[in-house]
Amino acid sequence: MISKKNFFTISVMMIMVFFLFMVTGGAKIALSNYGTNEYMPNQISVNNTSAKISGTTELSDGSVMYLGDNAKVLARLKEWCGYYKRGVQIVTHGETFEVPSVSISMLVIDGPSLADEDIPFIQAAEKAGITLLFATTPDTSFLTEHTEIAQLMGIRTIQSDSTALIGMHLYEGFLLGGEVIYESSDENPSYYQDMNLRVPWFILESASKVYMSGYLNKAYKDTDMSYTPPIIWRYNTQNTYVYVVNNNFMEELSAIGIYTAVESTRDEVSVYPVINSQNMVLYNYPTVTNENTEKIMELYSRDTINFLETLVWPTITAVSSANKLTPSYMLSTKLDYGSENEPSEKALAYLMELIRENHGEAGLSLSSYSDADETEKLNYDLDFFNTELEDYNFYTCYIGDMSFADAMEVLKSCNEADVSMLVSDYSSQENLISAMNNVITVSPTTSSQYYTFTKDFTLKSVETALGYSLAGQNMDILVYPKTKDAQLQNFTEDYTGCIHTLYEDYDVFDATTLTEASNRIRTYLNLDYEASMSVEGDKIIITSNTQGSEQYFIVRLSNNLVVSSVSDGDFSKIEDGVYLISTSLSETVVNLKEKDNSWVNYFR
Amino acid sequence: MSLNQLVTTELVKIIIAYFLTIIVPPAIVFGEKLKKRNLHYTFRLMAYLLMGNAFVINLVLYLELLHICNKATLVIFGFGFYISAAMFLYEIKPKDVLKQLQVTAEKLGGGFLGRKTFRAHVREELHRAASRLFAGTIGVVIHNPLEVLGFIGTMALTLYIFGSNDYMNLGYTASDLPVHNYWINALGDNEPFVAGVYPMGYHCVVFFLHKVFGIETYILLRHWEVVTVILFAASLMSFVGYVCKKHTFMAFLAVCFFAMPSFVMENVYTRFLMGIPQEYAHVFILPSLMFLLEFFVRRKEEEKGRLVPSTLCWMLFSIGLSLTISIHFYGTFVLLFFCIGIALAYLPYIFRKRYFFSLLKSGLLGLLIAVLPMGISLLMGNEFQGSMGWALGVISGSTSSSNTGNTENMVIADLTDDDYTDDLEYYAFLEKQGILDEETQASYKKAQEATGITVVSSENNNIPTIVMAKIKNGIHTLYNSAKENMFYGFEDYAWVIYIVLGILAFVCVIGFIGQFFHWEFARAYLGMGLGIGILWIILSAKALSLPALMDANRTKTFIGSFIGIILVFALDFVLQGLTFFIKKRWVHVGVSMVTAVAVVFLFYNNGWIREPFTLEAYETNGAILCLESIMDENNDFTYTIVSANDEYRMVSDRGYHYEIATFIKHLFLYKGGEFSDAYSDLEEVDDGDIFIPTSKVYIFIEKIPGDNGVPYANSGQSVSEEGASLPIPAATYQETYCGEGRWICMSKMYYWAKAYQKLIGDDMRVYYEDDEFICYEITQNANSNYNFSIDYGFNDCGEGEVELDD
Repeated sequence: MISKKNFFTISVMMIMVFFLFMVTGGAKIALSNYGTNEYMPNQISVNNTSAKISGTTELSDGSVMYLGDNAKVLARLKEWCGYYKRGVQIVTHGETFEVPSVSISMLVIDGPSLADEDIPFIQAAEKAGITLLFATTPDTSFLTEHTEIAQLMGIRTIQSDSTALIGMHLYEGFLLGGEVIYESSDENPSYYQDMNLRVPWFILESASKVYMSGYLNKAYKDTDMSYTPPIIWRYNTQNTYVYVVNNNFMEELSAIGIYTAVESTRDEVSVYPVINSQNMVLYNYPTVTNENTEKIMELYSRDTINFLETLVWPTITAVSSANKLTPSYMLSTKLDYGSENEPSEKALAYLMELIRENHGEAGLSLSSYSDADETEKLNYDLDFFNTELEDYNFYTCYIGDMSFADAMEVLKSCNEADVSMLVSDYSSQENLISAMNNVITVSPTTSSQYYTFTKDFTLKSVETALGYSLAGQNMDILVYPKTKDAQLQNFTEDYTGCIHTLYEDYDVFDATTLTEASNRIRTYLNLDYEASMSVEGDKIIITSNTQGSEQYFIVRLSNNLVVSSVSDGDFSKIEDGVYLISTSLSETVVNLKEKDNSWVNYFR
Repeated sequence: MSLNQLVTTELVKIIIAYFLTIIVPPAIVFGEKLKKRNLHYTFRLMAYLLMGNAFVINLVLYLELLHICNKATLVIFGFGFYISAAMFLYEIKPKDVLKQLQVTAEKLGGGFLGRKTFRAHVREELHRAASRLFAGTIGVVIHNPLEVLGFIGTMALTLYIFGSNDYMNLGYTASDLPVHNYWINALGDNEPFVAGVYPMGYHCVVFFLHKVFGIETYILLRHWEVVTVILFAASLMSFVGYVCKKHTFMAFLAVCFFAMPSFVMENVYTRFLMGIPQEYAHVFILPSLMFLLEFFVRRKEEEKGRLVPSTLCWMLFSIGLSLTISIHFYGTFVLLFFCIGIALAYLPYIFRKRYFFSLLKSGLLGLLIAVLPMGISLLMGNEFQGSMGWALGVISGSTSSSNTGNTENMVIADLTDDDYTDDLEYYAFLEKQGILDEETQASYKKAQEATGITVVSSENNNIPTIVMAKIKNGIHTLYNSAKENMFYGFEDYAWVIYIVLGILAFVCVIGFIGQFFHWEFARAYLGMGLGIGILWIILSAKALSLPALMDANRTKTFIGSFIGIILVFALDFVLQGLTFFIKKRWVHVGVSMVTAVAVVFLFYNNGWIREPFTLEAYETNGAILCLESIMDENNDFTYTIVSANDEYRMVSDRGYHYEIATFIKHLFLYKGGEFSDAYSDLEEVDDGDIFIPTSKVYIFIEKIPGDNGVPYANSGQSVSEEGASLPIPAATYQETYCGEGRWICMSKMYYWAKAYQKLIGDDMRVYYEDDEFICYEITQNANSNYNFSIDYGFNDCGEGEVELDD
């Protein structure tokens, strides 16, 4: 029997608990402020950077020479030179080598386009101590005929003109992200495998350092690992280092990381700026209209809005939080603009609350499932958003496969002048990052739910060169599933696996939303810097033209050096010998020390 | 950390591990029982030493034979044995223990006994035990301050003289330690007799400490010399203390005689700096003799009806005997020589039933304990290890100790000058063969006279003259052999030999006379005196035309370490004579202390105290430091050490090793060279490429190469282009790295390293460098290795043989 006194006390306590819960819930909604964008673009204006990004022909210290006729290789070289603000000198066939007045970083050679008259130039460059990079290997017949070139490349013998590999092994110490074996299981040999697996097989000279090698099939199981076909290697001719890439990597986006890795592994200390930005972007999500409800009901026993809120959202937050990413959401009121269904204001408000809670950012989308006219679509979306998100400034926009000019036209016509960052679909013809009229356009480095080896290699390369990535995913496939893979359970498995595998080694880089990324890209593109070593060899002094904005550098050190501290900045270790330096000052000192983890040094 | 700190830390670790393993468990379990059997604390300490060693050795051997020897089984069976023994001795029923545990567990589980309270109880018990130990220790110090001071001083002196080398030379100081290291490593693979059946006692103890405490085998072996010296000094003190009873400082003086005299050749004692089995067996001789002597004393007392259990003594003697057999046969030989002496001293008793059968049981038991594991192994199909065959041959008389075959059966024409150490020996051999012609006889006579030996002819002299001459000649022979083996180069002090011989005779005479007065100490005098006499005769065996049971080099070590006992016995007798009428203990202690101090002062005043021993190691300090550091910072089997074969056995449990001779041969083939048949290991080197499949490769190069105990004209020279341009010796295995060959190998490796570093840049760095040694560290992909073969300018090496300079 409970006394009245106790009954009263318990009741008061229950009311208090109930009240407290109500207050916190109410306060969360009231203070959420989901109607405004918490991210703001900075005021750094980027000039017309096309010349810078496509490379200049003016030679300066660190410029690159190119010898060859491969347009793809040249395009990627120019892209890299653009990011790294290097000049490119294109060498014509038969040109005589003249010792340049500036220090040349490397001579990039396209192997297949080599002619007899190019050999003296290459030999002279090698004698002058210029690093040689064979972006593609010459034909084996050419090498057989010109043993001096084979010797220069560190090739002792040609085992086979063309060998089929079953996979490749990228060793640590070349691209950031460490060691990877690009080989599928015996049961599914083609699973994930989309790399070029047919290469010439060379046996290398002594003291060659192999950064990537191929795996032979079981017929060659007795072959010593050290004799397997090399894919990327370095050879020291006594005068200089010669790097060789025995695959098509230099024709793809992966080239930019390889150029950076060549410089980093060649120099005892190497410093270069990076963007430091990891992005996860979801196109056309959230969408707030009930469409294709019948199919969604059949598959998930709920309507589309409910499906997107209760099933898709947890998946996205799980993937993003597990990989420490902050998603950017490219909103769309609906996917099929021909549909009569009206978007739900309530759903938009709820999803925007969730986005705000997770510190995500919303942007616009010009792409639709129904291929609606972009201007009409955008106007329709904006009309709807203005009622619920009146004060929300959109700074980013997904433009799909539209051109930059068309997209800008649409945005202008819809009075969306605040948009300063565009995300387009990946095109191998375009640069990964470009800037025009103070607007940044970026492409995703990973553009679908599936993991493949090429994606992995490319991502590693881009992370190495720029410390940047963007995983874009079109979400309309979930509402309009055409294959089983687009059903949520399968999508989740593939997408989670893909994102986790790709990003697990890069959590040292910051997760950003697109506006933050845009700010960092602007700082990066505007950055002019110089890094010098102190006389004692214990300090790197980095001076830049930027003050106030956060700048990021990667410092790669030889085996026996480590960063001990950074004055007026921070550092974090990416992997052995590689550090990310962040600073907002125009001069930063990175203090180094010898790696003396072995106690034997106390007895020296 | 300084070098001294490193060595001290390692030593302290080893000594604590040894103490905890060998001494503490029997002390806890058997201490109380031994005390009740009226065993003095020095006796008890020696008993723990014997029991602890015997247990560990047999535990390891039997687990090895069962192929279940690992850390877990060693700990479980080790604890299991001692717990069972304690339960048996103190009549504790397992049921009661289990019940008590159950009650405690129930109390803990049921909340009747709080964890904090339980912990407090345990802490209280431990605190009480520690307090008792502390109070006991303080009590010993308070009641025996002079003895404690004497003990500390003597130990400090011994450690200073014998242990300093441990701080100066970190490497192995004996050439056969790598072999012992190999056998110990094999124990880790449950292969107890990897090279054949051999006394493995020493190896088992080292292995046990390695396995249970995680101390690296090579660190244990490097410091084992200090363990041996400490234990030997302790056993020497205990033994002399036991015989000289009241004059306690005689015990310390005996240790001083072992450590101090600078006029005795260093190589008499240098075996004590090597940490090898024979010297470890040395430790157990005196404790065994103590128990043997005590057995006679107690049995006599028992005959008088007093309750002083003697069985324990013969059992402990049998354990000591088994230990010498298990560790090194030479220890057994010497123990038996002393036993013969003691048997002669107790001749009136030895054949009495109560003595004889106990001693027979003791001998058989000792033999059984030691031989059983070896016998089992033989039955399992293993064969004797090579040196065992030789040792058994010596015992059976079919082999001579010099290991050159049976000289009796040699054909004179086959002999060379090298088969004899001197002319005298050669002539003696000819005489024995009956082929001494007139000319050689004259030379023989001349040679004998040169050594002070009188040549007598039985035709021209009467019997007393002949006997006197024989005695004189015998003394001369003993003198000569001692002078040659122990005083060579110190002729000014050769008179000491006569004094020692005189004292030896004096002690024996006292011992003999003492029999008639029933002086118990006199029997010990006589036994030890006769034992030393036998050893001395064995040292002179060749000159006396006797079969050489033991190698002279080893025999002199035994004489050198035991002779101090005889000297202090003589002094003790004199002191006893001077103070026999005084009853006060402190007077005896004081007199012995004054005498000991006076003797030490006499030595000091005359400059007879030797400097600390130094013995050059086979590896440089830098190499050992690098090895420790490499093992410390790398995971097991992720690195390879490229060096001469010195580090092979040290590293084989933790990493890989690659020989530089093989490396150099590959480099030669890389340049298109072809080897002649003189190179024996060609099958290992089939092409020019060198791949070492570990992520780290360490190259050990001596900038000033040693000669590995084979000096040549320019021993101690630095690596040079001249050395690198010579062909490496077409010798096999160890010989390649001896003498000039080592200099050539190191020179080649030095210039290879310089050239290779230029090619791979910062993947190859200097890991450590000092004046005489350099170590390079190469970092590479374990899956795609560097090919280490290059043309470094000195690849040619196979077109000739280098004559090793003697």
